[in-house]
Amino acid sequence: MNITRREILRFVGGSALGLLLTPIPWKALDDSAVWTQNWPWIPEPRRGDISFKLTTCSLCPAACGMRVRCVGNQPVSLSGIQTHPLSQGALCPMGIVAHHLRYHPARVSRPLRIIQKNGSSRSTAMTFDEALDDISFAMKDARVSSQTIAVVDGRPGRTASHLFRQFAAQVPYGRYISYSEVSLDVLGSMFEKPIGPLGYDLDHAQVIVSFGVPLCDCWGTPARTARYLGKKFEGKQKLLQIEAYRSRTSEMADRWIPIRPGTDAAFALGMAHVILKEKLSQAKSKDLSEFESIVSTFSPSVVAEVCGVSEDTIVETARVFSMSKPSVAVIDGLTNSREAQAAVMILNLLVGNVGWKGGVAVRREVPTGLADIKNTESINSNMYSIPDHSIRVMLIDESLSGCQLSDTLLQKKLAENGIVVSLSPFVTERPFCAQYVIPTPVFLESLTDLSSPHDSESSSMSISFPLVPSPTGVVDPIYFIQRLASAAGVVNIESGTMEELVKRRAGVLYGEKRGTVFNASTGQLSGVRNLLSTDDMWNALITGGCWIDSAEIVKSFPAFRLSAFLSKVDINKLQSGKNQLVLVPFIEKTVYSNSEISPLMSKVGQESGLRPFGCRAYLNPTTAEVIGIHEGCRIVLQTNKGSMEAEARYDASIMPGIVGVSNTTHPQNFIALCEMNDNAAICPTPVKIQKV
Amino acid sequence: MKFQFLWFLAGLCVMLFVGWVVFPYLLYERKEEPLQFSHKIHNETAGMSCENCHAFKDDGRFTGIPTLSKCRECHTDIIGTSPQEKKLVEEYVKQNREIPWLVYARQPQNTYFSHASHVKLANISCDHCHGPHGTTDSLRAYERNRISGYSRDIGGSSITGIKSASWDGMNMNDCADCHNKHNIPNTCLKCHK
Repeated sequence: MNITRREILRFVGGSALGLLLTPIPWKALDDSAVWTQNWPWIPEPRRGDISFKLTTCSLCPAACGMRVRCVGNQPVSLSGIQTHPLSQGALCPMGIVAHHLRYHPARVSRPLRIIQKNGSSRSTAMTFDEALDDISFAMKDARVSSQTIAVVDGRPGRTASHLFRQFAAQVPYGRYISYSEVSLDVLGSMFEKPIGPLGYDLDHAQVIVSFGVPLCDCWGTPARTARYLGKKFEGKQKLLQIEAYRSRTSEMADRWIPIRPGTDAAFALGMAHVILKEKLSQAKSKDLSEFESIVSTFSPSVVAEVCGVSEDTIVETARVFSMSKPSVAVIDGLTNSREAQAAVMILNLLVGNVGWKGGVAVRREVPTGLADIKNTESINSNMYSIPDHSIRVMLIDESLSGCQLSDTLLQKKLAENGIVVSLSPFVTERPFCAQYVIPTPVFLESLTDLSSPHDSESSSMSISFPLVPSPTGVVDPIYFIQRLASAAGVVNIESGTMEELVKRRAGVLYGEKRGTVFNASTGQLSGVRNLLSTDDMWNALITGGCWIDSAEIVKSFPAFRLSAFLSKVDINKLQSGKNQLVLVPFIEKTVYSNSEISPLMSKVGQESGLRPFGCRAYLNPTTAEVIGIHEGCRIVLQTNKGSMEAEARYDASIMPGIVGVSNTTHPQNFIALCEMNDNAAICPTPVKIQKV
Repeated sequence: MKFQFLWFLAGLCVMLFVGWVVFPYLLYERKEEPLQFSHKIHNETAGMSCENCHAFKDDGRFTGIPTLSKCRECHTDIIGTSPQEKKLVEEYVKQNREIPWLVYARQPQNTYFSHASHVKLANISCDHCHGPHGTTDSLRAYERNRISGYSRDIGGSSITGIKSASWDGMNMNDCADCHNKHNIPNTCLKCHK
């Protein structure tokens, strides 16, 4: 029997139809999808006994209590502790998956030397001793050439912070630079004498006037954000959001006041003008007359023109703010100039909100139990007061993240032969700007104490206790600073492990018998006086508990100066730029910019928001139409400082006349285009747009 | 002319046979359990209940499949003449070696499932998901899907995916269907923590 080609084709045709009528394609497709989740190189946690352990999250100062589910001894999931007085069971999306950070692809376990050349960087591994030798050599060189050695601490108030200060106090030309909430630092420096740590008491405020602070976007601690939203929806709290963008917080605010970008200082001083004119202020400042002469040029009519809002809006906002008690004005310390921060903080001083419940809380220092530092005044510094190009060695502690130091500012202060040493568990954007990276443990691998969050009324202290060992080659920041101190001949630096030092701190807190302690195991909050021993306190703190100070009533304040930071605010300059198309940084609605994210973030965020993408320029459709730009087309942004290519995107949340460019995708390219003020904050920059 | 149509029909029939008979046979790898166990004898003769071995701990957690220590409570020495009993005592109890049970209902690592909330709070019986497993006289072969690597009990016994009973299938759709039916939230983090 001869089989023809046509018959074979018929057989194949029948088979093809038959295949579609069988479960093979559908079942194989379904099972293959599962198979892709089980590739052999995907690590699988070992099976074992399930247990629950308690600790505190160290990713940010919020210090949320965490219940860790472990299989064997390996943490596999995290959840909040409902009864925790600070976090109240809330965790942020980063916190929920914080146990994945141990496996982050950018994790480093050996010290690295990073060589920057022609815009690219190359890293080589080195031993810890080699790194120590190189850094101590640079320190000796700094001593000879009278250059500064700076220690930058993104999370002041910890035991490690005290060691950093001890180190800075004893090395020649040492400076300790702390970065907490910068706007509160600005407020603190307006007083002639230190008044103690400050914090926003958002919980008790009736009216919050926010200058671009993303309050509904986890700016504060997760629990407070949730509580704040709850109160707002219940009508117990009023939020006035003054912001150029229609952000999520703007949308949720009781009132959104859209102002031109870069005019926050003018709006705040316009409010101050109204407050003084209508005699709504009881402030007794030494330089009140000088301040009055400054704000006299910021009349509501002039400010209204500069900011692009009505005169009534300024007057009404000033009246609501000063007549509602308690009220508080807040501003984001990262994206605003020092003048703008000062102008907003002045509002709090004018209406007497500092030291009031629901205003700016004055908190007590939390004792460390470590030796006092004698010349604190001379070593404590902020980055702005350090002369440009004067830092020879800059040690940045980024082991716990949260360092808000601008790279531009860093480069400005660094000497030509200056080196940056980053203490970080990851090699991400900032450590790439460093010359040395010293690997540090991540959350769940090391013990650290945590200081008070910036949006709480009272001081607090928690301890993040390790549940897993850190990999070989990783060193604790205090071990590094102790070794470096030894190499530099610094003798009076605390010895001992972090556990020993933090335990000593807990002992001192117990000895002072003040405040309350939360025990997460029992869910009980009890006075320190009621605890039987230091061990009781220690055991409560290392198992997800926390210590909270009793609120202090501040009766008197040192004198303050209102005009201290306002010398550079010029209404004429602000007026001249109002009709130009300006370039401003735009915060993408994505979390990818934080490279320390876990792949499981896709469970809580859209994958499109987690992926990196090219540079985009966002324009209001009205503006785009006027200059003839279509959605998606390639454009060139040209400023006096240079040009860059971007993809044009329509976004109705952008105010007309503004080009918002993501400062997360290619930050260095973007920063190179922008004008900076003296404090290295980005100013709105005039820009021209051309099609490619 | 009529034979030409037969070629098409032959191709169709061959593929239907392969798809419905050969493919399911090849798809699943059959493995016998290391030891035969009779739920029936333990329930009826020994007078035990499910909770004797599959218990909840004091803290609310489910113990799952009992470990050797539970078997040892009764089987320190051989009881009766069964060869399986002899194997249990000689190969596992006396050598203190855990029995490597092949678990029909084992969920993948990325799935979190709480027996406590389903059994204690929702009052769902064991049978609802596991079927009449507690009355069987012997353990059936464990069938592993060669592509996905999961037990056949997870995907469901039928190759078509059509459920014949509430316990026929334990994959994500089955969980979601039941949650939807009882108006229980179905967020991703509920199961994938």
